[in-house]
Amino acid sequence: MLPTCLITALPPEARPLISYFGMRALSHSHLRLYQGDHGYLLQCGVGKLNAAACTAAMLQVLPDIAAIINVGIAGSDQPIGTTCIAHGVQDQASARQWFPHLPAVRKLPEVNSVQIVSVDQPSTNYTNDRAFDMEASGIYSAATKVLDLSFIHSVKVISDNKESGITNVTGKLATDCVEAAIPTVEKLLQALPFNTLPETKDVDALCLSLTSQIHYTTTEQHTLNQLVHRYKALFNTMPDENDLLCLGNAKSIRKNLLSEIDNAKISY
Amino acid sequence: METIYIERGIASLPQTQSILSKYPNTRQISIDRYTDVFNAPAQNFRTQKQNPALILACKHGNRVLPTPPGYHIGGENNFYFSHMLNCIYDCRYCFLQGMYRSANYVVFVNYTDFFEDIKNQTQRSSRPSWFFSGYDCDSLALEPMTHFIDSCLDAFSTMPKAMLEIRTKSTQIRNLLARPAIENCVVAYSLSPAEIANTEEHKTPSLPKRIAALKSLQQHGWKIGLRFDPLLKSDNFEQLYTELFEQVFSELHAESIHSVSLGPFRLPKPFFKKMIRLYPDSKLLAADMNMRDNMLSYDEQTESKLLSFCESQLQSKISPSQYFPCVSVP
Repeated sequence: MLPTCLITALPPEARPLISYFGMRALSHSHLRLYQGDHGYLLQCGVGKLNAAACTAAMLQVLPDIAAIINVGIAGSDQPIGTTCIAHGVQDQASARQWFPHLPAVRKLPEVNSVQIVSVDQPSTNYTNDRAFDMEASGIYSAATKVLDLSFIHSVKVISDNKESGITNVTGKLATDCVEAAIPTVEKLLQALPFNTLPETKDVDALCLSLTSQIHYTTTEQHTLNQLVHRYKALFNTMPDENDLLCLGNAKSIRKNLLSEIDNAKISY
Repeated sequence: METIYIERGIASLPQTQSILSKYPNTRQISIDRYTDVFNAPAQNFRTQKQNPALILACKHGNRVLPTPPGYHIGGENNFYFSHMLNCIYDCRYCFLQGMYRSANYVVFVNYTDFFEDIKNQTQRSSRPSWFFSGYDCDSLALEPMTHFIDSCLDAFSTMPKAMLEIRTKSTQIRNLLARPAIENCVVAYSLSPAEIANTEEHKTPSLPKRIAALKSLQQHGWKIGLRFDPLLKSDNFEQLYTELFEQVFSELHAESIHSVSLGPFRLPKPFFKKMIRLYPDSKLLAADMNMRDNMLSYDEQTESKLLSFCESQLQSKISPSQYFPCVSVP
């Protein structure tokens, strides 16, 4: 599984996840980050601006992050403790919206999906087909600059409804709610479709090695990456690094790879 | 199908309800416009292709469009329409991968609006007009769910001047075999050598199954068309295409085939660039390509070698009046 970052707003929401996934605090001057076996947890603070700013900064600091799961509490006219996954996220102020590409129903059985509406101030206009939170739209706004919608999800647990309003939400309730969502978070982590992404590790490693030893412009680096991918696809093997290094410069390497590709045999 | 998005405006249409009744255990999500989901940025076609959602929507306008130049089988007035966007198959050469951000399937459920537009278009000319289905989708692949082609044939049976081509790789022909053939419809199959189909046309019916479907349709009186499209290069292409033509023409009655066409492999540059980003591991897309007329294609020599070999093979199988060289412009 590729590294994933869980994002919560406040410590009571973060604590059960930190404990369950055995995470430890990472030292960073601006971000509250924790690290565990599956990846990371970011505690972003309340509100969409905090969420967007911290998500963007986290993705800059941790460029290997391949998925994000926002976990937190929300208000809705559903029973307290109900765990939902967002099928849509809307920023109430701008009406901008995102539609996460959800995993198959069978991979998340018994988890309802809901429209999350991110509000600037807590809202009590409860209905059962949407849930109010304050961070999801900020996270989507920042994360979709880097990741695809199949890899950004929001899991919310209902903490307040018509019968038990927002004034009854305590730190303990938030902790209990997120604790109840851990099995869903676990299943979602397993359901993330990392297996559908092309394997690029060996190509990236070879390109990194070559560009660290031979001068490459940015354009030449892109070309090199494409050519190595094409070479690998056509020959089902990687070009020999030492042979390429012997060519001495970026132009000769490009010519050599192009010539090999031009002469590749394709048969079915 | 695990997730179905439904435009609020068409939620109560009988077509919508009929489709939803076939998927009782799905997530059903109401949306305003299909474009909010389908055209959204930050989507990954390759990832979505493994678990596509269905979007039920209304097509407002631009339902029947003129075909690109060169896309015809002998008619003067040529149009295409798509009741669906995207395809259940996963052909590595398919331009849809480069054209759309999303691999979700969009089904436009306002069928009668399509038929009305086709009727209006037909009445604008005294000559027959051709209407091609299956440009942005496979015409028959989801027929058991949509019944679009069934309704379409009902409509075309009342419009003798409107000619319909149903383009497909699907063997979902039960509805066609359950009704009498109509004169103004051609069911055209895209065919590739079995080895190429097995490697590059993922999730499609095998070549023998497509040929069997063609044979059944022909025996039932339907006009059939053969579309050898796209022609893909390979070191053993002469052997592959010779075998393909042998297989096809040994099973079908050649004289009564309506039309045969060849299509060279061509892709608009932006589509190609997106496709190699999605599938850097694809051998087909990694092959040497040339830029001509803003399209990526094999070099001229390779392309004409492929075309002339296939043409020479076809000469002995069909008459010139059945042959249309290139019906392929993405």
